[in-house]
Amino acid sequence: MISFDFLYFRPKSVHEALQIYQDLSHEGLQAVFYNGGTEIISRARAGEVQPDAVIDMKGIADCQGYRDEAEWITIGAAVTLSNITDEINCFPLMQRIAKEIATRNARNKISIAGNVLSSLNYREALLPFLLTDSVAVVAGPAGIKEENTAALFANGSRLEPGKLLVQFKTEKERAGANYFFKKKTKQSAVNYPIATLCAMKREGKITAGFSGICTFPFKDAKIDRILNDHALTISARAEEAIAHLPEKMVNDFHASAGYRHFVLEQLLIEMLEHFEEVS
Amino acid sequence: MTERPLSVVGHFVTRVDGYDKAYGRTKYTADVSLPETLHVQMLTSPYAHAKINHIDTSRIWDVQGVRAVVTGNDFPIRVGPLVADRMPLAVDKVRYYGEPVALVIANKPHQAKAACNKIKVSYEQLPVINSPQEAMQNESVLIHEQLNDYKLQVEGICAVPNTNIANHTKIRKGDMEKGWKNSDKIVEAEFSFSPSDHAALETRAVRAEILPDGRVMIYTSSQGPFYVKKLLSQFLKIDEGKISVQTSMLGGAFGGKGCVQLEFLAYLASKAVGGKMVRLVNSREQDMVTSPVHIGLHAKVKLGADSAGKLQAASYEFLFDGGAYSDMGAGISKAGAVDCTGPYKIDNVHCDSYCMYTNHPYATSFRGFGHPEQAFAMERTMDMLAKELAMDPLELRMINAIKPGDTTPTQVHLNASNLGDLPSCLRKLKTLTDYKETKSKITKEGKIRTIGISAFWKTSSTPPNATAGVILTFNTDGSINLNCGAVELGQGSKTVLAQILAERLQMDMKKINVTFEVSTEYDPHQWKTVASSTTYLAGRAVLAAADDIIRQLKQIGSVALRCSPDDLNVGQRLIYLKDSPEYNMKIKDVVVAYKYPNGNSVGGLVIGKGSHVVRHLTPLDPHTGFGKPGPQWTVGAQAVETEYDPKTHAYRIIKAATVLDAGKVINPALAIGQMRGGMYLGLSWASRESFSFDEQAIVCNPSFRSYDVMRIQDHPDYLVDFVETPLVDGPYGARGIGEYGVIGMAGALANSLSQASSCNINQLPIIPETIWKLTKGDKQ
Ligand SMILES: Cc1cc2nc3c(=O)[nH]c(=O)nc-3n(C[C@H](O)[C@H](O)[C@H](O)COP(=O)(O)OP(=O)(O)OC[C@H]3O[C@@H](n4cnc5c(N)ncnc54)[C@H](O)[C@@H]3O)c2cc1C
Repeated sequence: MISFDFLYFRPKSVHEALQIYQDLSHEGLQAVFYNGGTEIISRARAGEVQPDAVIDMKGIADCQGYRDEAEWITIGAAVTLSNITDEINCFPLMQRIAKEIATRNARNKISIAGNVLSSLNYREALLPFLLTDSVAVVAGPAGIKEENTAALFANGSRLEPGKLLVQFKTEKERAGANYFFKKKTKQSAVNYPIATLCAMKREGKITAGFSGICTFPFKDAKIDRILNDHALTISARAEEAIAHLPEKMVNDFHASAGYRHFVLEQLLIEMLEHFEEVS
Repeated sequence: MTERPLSVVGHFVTRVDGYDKAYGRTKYTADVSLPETLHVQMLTSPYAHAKINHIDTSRIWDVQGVRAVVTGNDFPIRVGPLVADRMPLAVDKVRYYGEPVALVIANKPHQAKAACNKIKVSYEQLPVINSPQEAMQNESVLIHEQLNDYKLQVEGICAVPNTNIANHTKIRKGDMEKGWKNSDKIVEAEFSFSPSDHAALETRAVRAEILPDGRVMIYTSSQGPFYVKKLLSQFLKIDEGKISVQTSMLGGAFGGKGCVQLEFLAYLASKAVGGKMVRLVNSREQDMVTSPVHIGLHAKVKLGADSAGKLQAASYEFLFDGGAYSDMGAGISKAGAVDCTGPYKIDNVHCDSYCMYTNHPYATSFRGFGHPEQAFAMERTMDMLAKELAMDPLELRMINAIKPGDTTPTQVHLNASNLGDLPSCLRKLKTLTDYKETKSKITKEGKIRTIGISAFWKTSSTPPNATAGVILTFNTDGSINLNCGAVELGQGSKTVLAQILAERLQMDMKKINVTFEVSTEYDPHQWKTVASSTTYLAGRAVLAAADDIIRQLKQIGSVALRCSPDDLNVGQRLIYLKDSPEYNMKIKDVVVAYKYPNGNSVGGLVIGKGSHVVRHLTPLDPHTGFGKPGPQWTVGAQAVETEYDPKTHAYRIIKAATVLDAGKVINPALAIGQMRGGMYLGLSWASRESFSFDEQAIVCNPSFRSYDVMRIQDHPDYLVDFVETPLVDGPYGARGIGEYGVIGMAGALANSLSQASSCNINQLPIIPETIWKLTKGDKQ
């Protein structure tokens, strides 16, 4: 149960959403963009957040649905993880990741934007966009802009207040690339990841994305260089990659840092062996 | 009675509450919402141990709809079932994270919650006790400074002032020195696990109202409505007859609804608003930490055996993590001690079992009451001993299995009736699981398949005067209404009781109407619906009530049929002459007075009554533990087969099996269901359920997002079989079976994985990281 009152808006366009946000700010009211609500509702129940207003993105056509055009796939930010698993077959890595987040019931609600901008560490749905160098379409007071996903979300950053995520655009050829994916949890499969590793191989080069081991999801050019360094053995590459994580491994009640290290090392080796075999 | 084949008992009968539950029609306590009910919200403590300097409630009145606020000083009386050590709302200090500090009553739930957030409490943090070992070692931090002044509610609980010991039970049997001397092999090990949750689907809920004439009406999801009445009466100083407690169906309980907590709060809330009806429903998070939890344990076990594997001596130290208040934890520590050896013959036994106060959420009963906990430690040590002796674990259990003629740790003499037959259970388990003495099998993928086993026993820790009663009334069509104080919590008791009645009266089940709701106003007293005791206690009461009816029917029948009562039989809704059944009359023509053809009537209403009380139980001797703790023991054997990946330390549970000596299986489908449910509960607990505490003893995972339970896809295949050694004084020979499926699961799982991973897994929950840590330790 949420104990406080808040305003609810359901704009029909991105422009209208931004306008509402601005108007509320001028009145000194704090608004948040709202999609599936699984996070906003849980946190509001727990008293962790108390927005004055929520602006529901689900009525905005640009944020909904996905378009499969000649070279690009466009996925609306309000698309749910269930939509992805049911429909978006040309992006198999995205489907795999979506399918292993939460439960079907929750996935019917959880949106791409909500996951990518979640306050949790995991934000696993960001990984396929990172690996495919997708374009994030972001709207803000200065208008609608296309930004590089990796740069936009580097080192765990999210959007500035007042900006909203409209959609992701992914090159179709990249979306269909050969991939590896594995998620490790503390015990039950439905748990949050203690380590998720996904990787794609294009033009002979591996690029890897990580979630659960640091406080944010990431891909890292240095790590990718190590993973592709054939002068090193597979286990040396794995070890070296771990030595270059952007941050200390998380050490919490889901898993100790030492165990995460153990799990990640195995995942990296498994991934490297997988690509060695397929090529 | 003449011997005749049983027609209802021992047969599958659809459970009487089955359809309503399957269709979602069953109404639980929180489903009922009456107009004008006010809503209560709790403000709970953000700290595990802190002084309360000041509570400022002035701002709550800014919130619309607020009616009243209650804080600890409004009722500074200590309550509790065994040791009265807990104020319903904290006074002066809080002792666990989640402890209730204040109540707000408002027109709407969200108003009450918003107002709670406006209460300012100024706390001063105190050092915390974060484990039972710390509680024992660190005497500079006392959780209850005034333990000495607390009132003990029952005999046999021994709290130690100026320590954190809420109860100390001692078992001293035989001669330890001799026992160790006769031991060729001795193994010693330590075990531990944190408190966990009951995780019932229905969170605890209550409504309360004080009528203008002073009567207190409580509607609660409780396993012990009569117990609620008793404790409220005692601590609120209200006559028992002025308190009415009503309980509808429970959505799962697992022991967690035997405590009396929310009822006190709801009463205080109602009182604060002039007696109006109030409603208090736990959120999931509150149900997990504010209401009592499943106990934790730290144990040391030492076993000695001769070279043939015969156990010679056993010593135990149990430090139960009872949390901030003793509730049933004190009793659990006693129950674990009483059966500390498990179902094995050991002549020399030494046990010190403590319930420790810690700054964790407080513990209450959990299905198995001290036994799943004790059995985990004991059964692991048995496997370690088997390894030491180079003996098959099943064989070791077989040669030490306790038998008629042996005595328990508290020196109760056992016979076939009060014990049952463990060797037969072990033999059946072997066939059921295809258990070979060969060790693990390696699969093609390099995974290791291993069967781990365990054996268990349990007596119910009932108070020496535990009772149940039954009242039977007739409808004019000759059908019967069965009223008793047993609560239906999913275990199927009411179906089983109806079957016992149908059997005794030789009547169709369809003609027996069972009331599910229990009301202390019109149902006969029953202790509680706990301790696997309902089939036995209430079942005996049903038989007594049925016999009472038969006697009355024969009496009236003898007048109408002009014969002696002894010439008559009752069955198939008739009263008939034994030797010439064609001379008969319908029961329906008798039950609301028999009418002669000329219009005269005799007999009056036929009303059956029956009750049963446990016999010959005694409190334990404080120095040796000598005494009779429970009416009978049920024994059984279990197995778990896992497939373990030595590379990642992940595993899958493939099979879980139970063979139980049920005495007599009254309803096979229900009994199998109970075993499966029990195994599930035990496996879920052992494989993933546990509260994580940070350094300040704050619970890190008080929600289902982070508190892991076993999901449907993780279920193994469940195998169940029974042995039937009648309990002579049980209804149709039946023993208590409700809790038993849980008991040996943790031990069997740990044994299987210990063997597979070649390390001693002596802590729970067993997650891959647990095994990783241990194997790493081995390597270093
Ligand atoms: C049972 C369960 C299991 C889970 N397991 C995992 C897991 O394994 N891995 C994982 O990564 N996550 C997991 N999650 C987390 C889940 O992905 C997050 O809760 C996610 O935030 C939900 O998305 P939503 O659409 O419901 O978000 P909302 O609650 O609607 O929003 C979440 C956040 O995103 C912001 N936001 C939403 N839309 C926009 C937009 N268009 N523009 C700008 N900001 C926006 C909101 O303001 C808010 O801050 C799990 C959740 C549940 C319920």
